[in-house]
Amino acid sequence: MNSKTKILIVDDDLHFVKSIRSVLESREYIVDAAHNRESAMEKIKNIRPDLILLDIMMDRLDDGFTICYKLKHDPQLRKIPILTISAVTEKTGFKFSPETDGQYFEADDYIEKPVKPSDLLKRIEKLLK
Amino acid sequence: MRDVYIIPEERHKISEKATILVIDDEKAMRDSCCQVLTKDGYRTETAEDGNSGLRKIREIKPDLVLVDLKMPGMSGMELLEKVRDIDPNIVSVVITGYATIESAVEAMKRDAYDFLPKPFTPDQLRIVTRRGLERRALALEAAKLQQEKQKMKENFITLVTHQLRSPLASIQQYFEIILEGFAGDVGSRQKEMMEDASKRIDELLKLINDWLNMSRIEAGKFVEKFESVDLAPILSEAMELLEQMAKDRKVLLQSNFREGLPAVQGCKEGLKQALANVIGNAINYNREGGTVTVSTKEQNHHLVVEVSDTGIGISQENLPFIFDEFFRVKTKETRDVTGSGLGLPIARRIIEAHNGSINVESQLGKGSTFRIILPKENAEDE
Repeated sequence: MNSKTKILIVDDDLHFVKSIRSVLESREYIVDAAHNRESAMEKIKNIRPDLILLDIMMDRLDDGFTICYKLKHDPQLRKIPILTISAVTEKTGFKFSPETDGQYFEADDYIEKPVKPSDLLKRIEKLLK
Repeated sequence: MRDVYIIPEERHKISEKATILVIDDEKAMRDSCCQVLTKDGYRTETAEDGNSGLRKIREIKPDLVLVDLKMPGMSGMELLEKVRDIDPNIVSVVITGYATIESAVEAMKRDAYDFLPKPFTPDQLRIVTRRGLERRALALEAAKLQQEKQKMKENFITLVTHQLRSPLASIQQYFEIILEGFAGDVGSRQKEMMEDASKRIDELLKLINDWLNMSRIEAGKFVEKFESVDLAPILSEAMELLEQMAKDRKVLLQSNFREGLPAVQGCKEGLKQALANVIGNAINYNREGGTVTVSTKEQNHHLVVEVSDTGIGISQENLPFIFDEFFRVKTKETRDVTGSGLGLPIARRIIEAHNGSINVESQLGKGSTFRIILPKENAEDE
């Protein structure tokens, strides 16, 4: 049923990508991945994913924020739902969410690592509706 | 020889910007000093006694103060001490008409940098001022280097913890996926073992977290966030965090404190963590059916939080080490208790960063009482 839905995972942790990929593929999503900001932007423009799973701290600690900002200020790309997945809070103690920090952080949803697969799938389905 | 330390350009910059405060009760003295110094391109300010001098120091943050030793009201010596308290990098130069060896020694003890006996010539004033400002430039430079060093240390710790956490987080993620059946069927024995493994990793992650916290306290991070804090809601929140753990260990957690305790100055998150660590410790080292009671009382200028347990107690020989890093009591009773050995040391560091103290009384086999003593917010003004 999801066989035409493309999801792009943007994360520099290859293990995380591998494990999440298996979860998504079990639900027949088409999965692609990018491991840094540059390749993420390129892939987003080329393959036009239906949803993006976005890590925050990559090469630069704010890469995720930057990608999110760029997408949400691009008239053609702003409609793509962004689900941010990060361990920022656990790593830094710095708490934020799209509800309280929407002005600076315009992602559509946010979850902490490690991710519960069933929770992830539920949130993805909700965003794709 | 002092000139070696400072390149001419740098010195020029200092003299251009430097602000000098002259504190002297004699108007003629203030005026003549200012005249000489203003002509040399310094900014000058004056005060006619110690109190208004202190006020100006707080307001304008001068680079150098010229202080008369004999003034009505606050003496120059007293003033010197207070200047040092406000900012040890402000250079003080003493001017006095009663220059004796004793007064010079007394002034130097209070960190005065130089001494200028009255009467002095404009050139003497210039030389002393310039020397004082060079000294300040050096002190500021040293402080900056110290800060940079501290920052590097913090960055290093953050980096290392990040490197440690990432692989663990990956393992944890794999476990989640396998346990939820996304990688094929898992037998019940396999499932049980993986759940245990996953728990162990949680403990390891917690240890790394504690370690990171420890280094954060070292860096004095809490003090930056000081505000007026009501301890009652914080105690309640800390206890809420531990309710499940108390239930799991079949320990009764009870509180005996009222709302509206006198405020303390502190960091809410930090205090909550310190209290949770102490209460958590009391739950952990308890026995089935035991209790932990959290109460508060006032003692003069202090607020005391008492955490009493009916646990296993601490032996006299272990008692002195209980707040040491990574120390853990190893007996039959504590075999099943997991922990990082950092809970109480973290609590102590946080409490001490709040100018408070923590102590413990214990009877082996009967239980322990931890006392956290914090100064009330307005205690200093009384």
